[in-house]
Amino acid sequence: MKTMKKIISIIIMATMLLSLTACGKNNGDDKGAVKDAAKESGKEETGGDKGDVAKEDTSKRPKISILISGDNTPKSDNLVIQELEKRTNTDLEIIYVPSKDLATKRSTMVASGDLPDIFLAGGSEAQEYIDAGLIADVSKYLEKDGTNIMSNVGDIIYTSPMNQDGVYLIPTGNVAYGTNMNIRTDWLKNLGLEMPTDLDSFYNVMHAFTFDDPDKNGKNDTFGLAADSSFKSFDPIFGAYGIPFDSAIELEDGTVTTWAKHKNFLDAMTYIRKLMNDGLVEPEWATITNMDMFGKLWTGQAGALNFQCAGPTNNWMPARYTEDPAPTFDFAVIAGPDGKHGVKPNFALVTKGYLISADCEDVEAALRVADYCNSEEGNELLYFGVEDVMFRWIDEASGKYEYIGEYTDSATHRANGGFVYAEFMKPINNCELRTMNEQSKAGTQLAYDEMLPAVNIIRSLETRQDYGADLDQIIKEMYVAIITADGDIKAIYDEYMKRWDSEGGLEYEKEATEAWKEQNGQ
Amino acid sequence: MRTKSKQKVWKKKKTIGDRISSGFIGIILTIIVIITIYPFWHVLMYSLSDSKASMGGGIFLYPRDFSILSYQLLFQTEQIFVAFGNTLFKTIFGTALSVILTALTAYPLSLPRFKGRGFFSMMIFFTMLFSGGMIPTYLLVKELGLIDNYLVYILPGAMSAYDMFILRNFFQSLPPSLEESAFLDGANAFQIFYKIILPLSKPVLAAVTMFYGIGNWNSYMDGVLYVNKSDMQLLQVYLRQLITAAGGKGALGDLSNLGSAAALTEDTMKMTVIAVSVIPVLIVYPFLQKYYTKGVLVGSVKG
Repeated sequence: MKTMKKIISIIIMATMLLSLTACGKNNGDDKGAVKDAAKESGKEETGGDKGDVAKEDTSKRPKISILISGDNTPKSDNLVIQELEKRTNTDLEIIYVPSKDLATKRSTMVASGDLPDIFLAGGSEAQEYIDAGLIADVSKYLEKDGTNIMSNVGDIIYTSPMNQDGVYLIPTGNVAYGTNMNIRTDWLKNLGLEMPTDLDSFYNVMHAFTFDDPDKNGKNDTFGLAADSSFKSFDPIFGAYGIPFDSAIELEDGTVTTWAKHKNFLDAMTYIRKLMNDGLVEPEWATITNMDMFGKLWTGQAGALNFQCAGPTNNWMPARYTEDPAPTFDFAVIAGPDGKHGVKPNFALVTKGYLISADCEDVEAALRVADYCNSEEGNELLYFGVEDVMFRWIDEASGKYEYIGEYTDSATHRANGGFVYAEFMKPINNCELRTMNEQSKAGTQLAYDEMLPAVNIIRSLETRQDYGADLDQIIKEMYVAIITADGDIKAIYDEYMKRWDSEGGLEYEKEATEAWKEQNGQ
Repeated sequence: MRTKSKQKVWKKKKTIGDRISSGFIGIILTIIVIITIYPFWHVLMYSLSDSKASMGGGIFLYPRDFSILSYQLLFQTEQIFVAFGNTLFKTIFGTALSVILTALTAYPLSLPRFKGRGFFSMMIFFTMLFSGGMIPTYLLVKELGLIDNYLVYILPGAMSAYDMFILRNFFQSLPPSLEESAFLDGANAFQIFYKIILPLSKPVLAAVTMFYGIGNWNSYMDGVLYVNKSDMQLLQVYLRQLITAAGGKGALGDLSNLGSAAALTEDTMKMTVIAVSVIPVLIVYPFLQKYYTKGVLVGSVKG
């Protein structure tokens, strides 16, 4: 027995040592992995390019490392990266981290002097890197190697406060989708109602959705508007009163301040309170999570949701809906008492974007990669994968495509690099937009058209950094307090705004007003 | 026979009051067991239910519209096996190395004759109060060439000061006469340690093994900070990405090429991931549990 124990101990120790030795030496195996990946993907048979890449002497290609975040798990060296390397004549190392850990990974790498060649950063953090001389000035390369970048963001790249004495930050240029009031048209039809066009008709539709059995199942199991505790649920209601929620606004006297100081704010809140007090809105709005709120729409309990239309009419169709047939939607534009309508505006961020490290051995090559990914062709590669190997166009003009072969399986597609890098250097006319269905394209455009004017101060404000989070919290608390109040909402409003003023709001107003005037050349 | 008759006598003495109180205690304990087990049962049943049917929430005593789609999605990719293998490697070898190093450090520090043990103990204790910090640790790991190297999974956290003190305290509680007797019988230091001390320390070794094992199994940041390659990804990193991806799908993510997986909600994926992550630990735990409590208590009462 003792001998047996000794033998087992020795075997375990030997196995450990062998494993450690074997695991420790993992460099240099990548080429084999490339071949394996190619073999697994079947590209050797279908494309033939793979063989060329494997034979080609890639040692002279400049090495470029890119830090990308996402929530998929592509293989380290996959078909998409191999193709990208070929098209940009580079040797790429992709550092792929979970989205929520991007900041931690980036700051750790930067602090240890181990910067990736290309990475995403913004705000004061990016400014610090630039000030510390960690970021390369790419201005001299833009004309030759940055044609796509310039066509996408040429009009805003020099407006970035970080690009005053060169070009250090390449803004993405993308403007986030606006929201749409998605209304169930099948329920409207069941009830013989029209799409609401103003606050009164919107109230009537929400009332009917709640009390008139819009799904005709004989049960009292529906309500009007899906909502949570975020202002976003009521974006077009604020818009109907001319208020761009969650944005800075300019008052008549020229003061730049919070949207909550808009003269119509309390009128909008009174209307929202009426919807809530009459039971037309999600009863658990104060505590419900975002996903559960969507769930109320997916399960046929809610008849309306204010959200980017690409959710209800494109991406969730038909998989998420539990009813058969699936619900149908259209988008309401709701006019207020003065005929105003609109939604919160989004602006192209010029203080967040991609940076190229000053330590990069070949800045020109790094820019070449970034620029290629910023083209429609490059975005196609990152979004769909390799054409005729992983996908093919059915009708490119209308955005119809299909995945082919083993890549019809999404796991295989993503493991080989499809879709997982699509956010990197995404151009304005990207595949996501190009492949939406017609209704979603129209809805997305409608939301952009509906965006209200607001103050967009480009440079970062010190007071915003110092007090911003606290000031936003005061507004949120006020919103909840007003909705749930029994008494005088004006008194509650005044009390919270007094707090807002005293806890840094007035200082913010002063700095924001000056910055806005300066930005407008006044 | 005598024992049996004694038992009979004892049984006869049980009054109605005893029976009522026994029954009452039994009911309370049953309720506690249900309360303890139900959360995991809920998770398991939810993960085996169809996402659409689960959206209503509520109690899950059995699956609603039984579906293993989430498990299919989880296990259809090669990556789950890669991540599972990496975590298993870290758990097995990392734990083994940790226990060996910890025991080898703790034993000399438990011996009164070892001069300077107070100093060394204090040096180790100091690391419990002040850690190196994320960036200095990253720099050290990088300088040692451990980035994208499997050794990074077992070397940087190979010894925990806390576990070392638990072991040291336990070793101190063993009678010195054992060591002296063995020494008189001709055993050398290694033999004393290997044949006397370690066999007597099974409870505390099991407890420390469990601490290290669970720590390694749940390890996350090592896989984020020190590793850039997906073929070295840890299970917890993979599972977290899966949950976040499911959340993204719920909002605006691209569902168009996800096929039947698009019908999965974030909640179902969360439940599946919890089940997959916890079940292996649950399987191992009962085998070590009897040592676990005893080991921790014995080690902790001695100063």
